[in-house]
Amino acid sequence: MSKGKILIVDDEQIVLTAFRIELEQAGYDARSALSAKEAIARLLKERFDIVYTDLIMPEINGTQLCHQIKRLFPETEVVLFSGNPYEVEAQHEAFTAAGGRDEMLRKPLGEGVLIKVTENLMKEINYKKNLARGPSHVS
Amino acid sequence: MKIILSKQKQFNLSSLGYPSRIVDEDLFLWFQRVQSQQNTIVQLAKNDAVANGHFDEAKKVITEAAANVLIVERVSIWLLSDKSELHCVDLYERSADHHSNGMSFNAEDYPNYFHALENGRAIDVYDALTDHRTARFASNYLLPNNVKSVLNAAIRVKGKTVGVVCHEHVGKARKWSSDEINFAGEIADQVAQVLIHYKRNQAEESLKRAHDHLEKRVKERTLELVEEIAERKKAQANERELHVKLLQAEKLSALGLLAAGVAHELNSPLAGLLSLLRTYKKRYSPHSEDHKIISEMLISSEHMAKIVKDLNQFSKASEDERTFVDLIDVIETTLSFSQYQLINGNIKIVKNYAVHLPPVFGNKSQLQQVVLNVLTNGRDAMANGGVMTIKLQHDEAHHCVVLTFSDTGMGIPKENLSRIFDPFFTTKPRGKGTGLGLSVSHGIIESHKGEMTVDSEVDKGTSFTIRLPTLTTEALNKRMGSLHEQG
Repeated sequence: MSKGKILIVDDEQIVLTAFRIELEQAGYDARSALSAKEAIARLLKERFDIVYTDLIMPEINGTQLCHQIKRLFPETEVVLFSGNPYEVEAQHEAFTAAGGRDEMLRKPLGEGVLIKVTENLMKEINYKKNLARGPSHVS
Repeated sequence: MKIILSKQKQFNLSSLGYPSRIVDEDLFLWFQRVQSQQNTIVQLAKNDAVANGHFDEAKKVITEAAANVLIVERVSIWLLSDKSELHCVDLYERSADHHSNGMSFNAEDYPNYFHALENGRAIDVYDALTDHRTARFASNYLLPNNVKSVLNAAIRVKGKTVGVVCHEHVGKARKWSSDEINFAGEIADQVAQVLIHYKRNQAEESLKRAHDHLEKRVKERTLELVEEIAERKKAQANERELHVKLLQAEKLSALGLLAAGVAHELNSPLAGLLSLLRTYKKRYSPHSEDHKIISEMLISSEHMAKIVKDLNQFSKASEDERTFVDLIDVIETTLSFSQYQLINGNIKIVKNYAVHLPPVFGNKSQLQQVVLNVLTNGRDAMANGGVMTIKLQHDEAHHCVVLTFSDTGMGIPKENLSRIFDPFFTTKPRGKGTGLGLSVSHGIIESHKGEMTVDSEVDKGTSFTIRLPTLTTEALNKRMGSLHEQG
């Protein structure tokens, strides 16, 4: 049983490969998508706990993707990462309004940051899942 | 002008051109008179005032001479104005030996007189009160002045009658002899000559005045032009300097945008690369060849990430929060975390801070970065140790704080000095500097509306001068006011 299911969306292949391997090594079930369209297609097939998405991508950007995901799968957490800190700042409000996470990741990520953020998020997700199952399961 | 002749002297009349029938008269007296007249004319022609056209002086000389030679009580010179007004410019009264002037007549009121004047050289009138040419002057001129006989000669210049010389006999009527009539004409001619000279002098004088004025104006204008040209040159030089500064600023800002764009594009692949390298490094044993190779790749990638981060800083504008900043605090904080580097390099720090420095309004962390960049630059310039002098002064006249960093390092060659603030310009060994530190600093100081300049001498050292504006009391109050409103 994996620690959690994670989808990475970025138009840069090496980002997908690197983050997927890093997450898999840490025991997560990681998938990747090269565009927002591909990501939606994957999400319609299987459920994910977390989606890490790039902000600036062709056709559909990270904020628009987040809006779609939260509409279809409200429980899935969407985290933005970007190489452009100014774009991140500019999009922060719209992204959180669309239901995205408040914390945002700046590329390149520091060593171990991706795993640390994922662990914290999974704790929160599991806590919410337990809450949903009923008060008896909460300890 | 008295002429004394000897009665015994022999005269040749025909040689003087006078008709022999005049011998009826008292020949001696006649001859004396003519001689006197001719001498007078010659004397007058030689007279300085007459010859040189000094009219004011000449008119008196002429009236006096005429009165004495003709033995008449009154001799006057009258000039016609453009409005046909006859104006007396000089009247000599012989018995009183007195000159006066100022009387005038309207020529149009005396048509007979002027008609006669126009058509003859002289008017000789035996009885002026009854003569048709002069009778009109009886009540207003002749009678009041007791004038009985007149001998008037027209003054002609270029054929035009411009005035009249009046010889007026007072008392009993007098018959004018032909030589006297002639003499009167010659007197009038003398006056005409003086007038011609006088007019010419006046013309010459006004020409000279015009010429002098023109010359003066030319000189003045030349001076003005020289000044104008100097001013224009100065303005052009200023403009050029401004243009160069503007170009520099534009270049930096364009480069900043480009750099930021490139930096953001590089961040994604770098993120992938770093992540992969970190993951794979762990897969090999620390002493293996592969581990070593991957470590080297990681170091290079991290260096790239550092460049990109600096580039981001480079394009960072004034969006960051600004507060009142104490520059001493900025310097001290920066020194405290870079001290070890400087000490390691055997560098002595000399501080020279002015007291009562006003705060500047700016971004503390950005200013710390500037200080760090300049200190790092100084450290690298003093590889064999040296002294770094940090000076902080208040330039009250220019409302700014002046911060100077002077090192005793190797200095910067002149050809590199102008490029020192260009992005990516570095003389440091590959891998040591990104070539962005000083241009980032320059950009930060500019965004603070300050000025950063460099001065250097090879083998002597380099000094960076940073001028940051202080707030004027007015601006300070305004800012405090707005902060208060916000609060």
